[in-house]
Amino acid sequence: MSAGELTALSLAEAGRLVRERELSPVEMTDAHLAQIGRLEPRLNAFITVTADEARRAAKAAEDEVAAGKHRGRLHGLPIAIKDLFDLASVRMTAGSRILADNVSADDSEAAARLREAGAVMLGKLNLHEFAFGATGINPHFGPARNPWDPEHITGGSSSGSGAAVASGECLAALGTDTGGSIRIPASLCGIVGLKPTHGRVSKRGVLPLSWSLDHVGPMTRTVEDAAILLDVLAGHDPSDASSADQPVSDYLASLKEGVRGMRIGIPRRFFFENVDPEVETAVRSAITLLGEMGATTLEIDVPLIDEIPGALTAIMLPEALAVHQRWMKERPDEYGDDVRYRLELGSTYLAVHYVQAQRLREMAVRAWREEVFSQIDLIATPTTPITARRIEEASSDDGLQVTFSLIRFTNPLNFLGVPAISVPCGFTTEGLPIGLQLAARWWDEESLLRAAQAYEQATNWHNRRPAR
Amino acid sequence: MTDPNEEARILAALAGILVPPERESALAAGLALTKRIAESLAKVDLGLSEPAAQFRAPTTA
Repeated sequence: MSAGELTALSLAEAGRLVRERELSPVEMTDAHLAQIGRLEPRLNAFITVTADEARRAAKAAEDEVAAGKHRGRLHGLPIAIKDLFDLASVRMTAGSRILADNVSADDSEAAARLREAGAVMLGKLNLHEFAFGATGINPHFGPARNPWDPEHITGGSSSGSGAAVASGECLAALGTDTGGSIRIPASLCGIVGLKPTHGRVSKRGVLPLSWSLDHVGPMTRTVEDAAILLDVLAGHDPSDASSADQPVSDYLASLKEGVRGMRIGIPRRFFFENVDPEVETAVRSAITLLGEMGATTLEIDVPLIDEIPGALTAIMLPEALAVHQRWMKERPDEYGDDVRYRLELGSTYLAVHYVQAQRLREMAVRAWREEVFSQIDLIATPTTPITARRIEEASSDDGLQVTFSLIRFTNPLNFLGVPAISVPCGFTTEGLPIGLQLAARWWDEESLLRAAQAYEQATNWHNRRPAR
Repeated sequence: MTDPNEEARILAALAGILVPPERESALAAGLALTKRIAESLAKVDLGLSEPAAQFRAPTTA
């Protein structure tokens, strides 16, 4: 198999080949390190590449295979993680100057679970500074660039994760999502991004942005790969206060059961307003296809949708300032201008605003449970109303507008805590990817993955690759 | 009427951060958005809803 073929494999295919001793973890890791070496000058997806450690882990994995030992689904497979997660003895910068020399003492829970399942860690991926932004433009490490057109943003904040997975620099990556930071770069880079239910995946060892809105999840090239990673990551972690002790399904078991009989709600309002025409056409076509495949589609009302974005802001900004208060007091000049401004804005919210927003959150969760998820199994929307904008535009004074557009359809789902996924559903005439967002009721990642898998397998979007 | 720059500076100081004079007007502009959000929140009848001490996704859908 050529290096190009190796870096185009899915996690599922590569895992099967390693298990059947048809693929060497060392060869696989070398192919990905070579891809990183070739593409990084153009994409800037990585902050730290742990090449030596990756080669050592790959060799150990290969020796284990030879000895008949197989650690798990990820045995010998090269994966990378957003530089917001702790990875023992590797620096964790959070994309910031403030933490530029910070070295993690231990693995985050997510990284530990990946390693336990046999993953080979390739390194730490670029991000919006402190994960506090949706463009991925980073003043300290430079922007990660979109593999479909390096003059365009990847979206963020998991910008490097989007670029690295789409370009074949790694088989899969981890991201975090506070207002859309997994799904936005997934949509803009033409890959799959899954934000699980709040509490489904441990956040221990991940630098917080906003405790009550942060989520950890996989970014992959196929839905099956997202299911594989969720299988590894999901589960209660007593050391994370927000981790829930909920039953975990085998996400692969029901993956191929299709959408027949599922009820998919299409919001009448908000989620299709001010959408680029090419995005709307692609998403509506995807919904039609899901209907043709046996799902029932129906228009629905989405309660409190006009109030949710403001309430989310009233929670996210003060929580973020609380995380950063000490550094904002002692080292404010070391922040990038946009992140510093958002943190300063956190000071303009009073305690009463925060409490009312949290009350509204409880009310919204109840209303969506009773009025939305009692009627339907999933909702379908565009992931983002726009596709990847040029880096120049996103860095200018219009950048704030780009940010507001990017987060508009994703952040209500962080507020609600429901699981949501972005899957590729088309390309613009310019050749830039478009994402379909599906969301399910709390803890029902199974239905979400089933529907996403059915759609993906009925289309060919996931098989397109950017020029390498 | 309070000067918006002064208002923004006081709020920032209460939150424990120092906003240099050259950043005050931008923060004051942002404060206008905060006020719009606060007004919007105040219009919602929140009934008996209580804030969760810690957000938890509901265990029954």
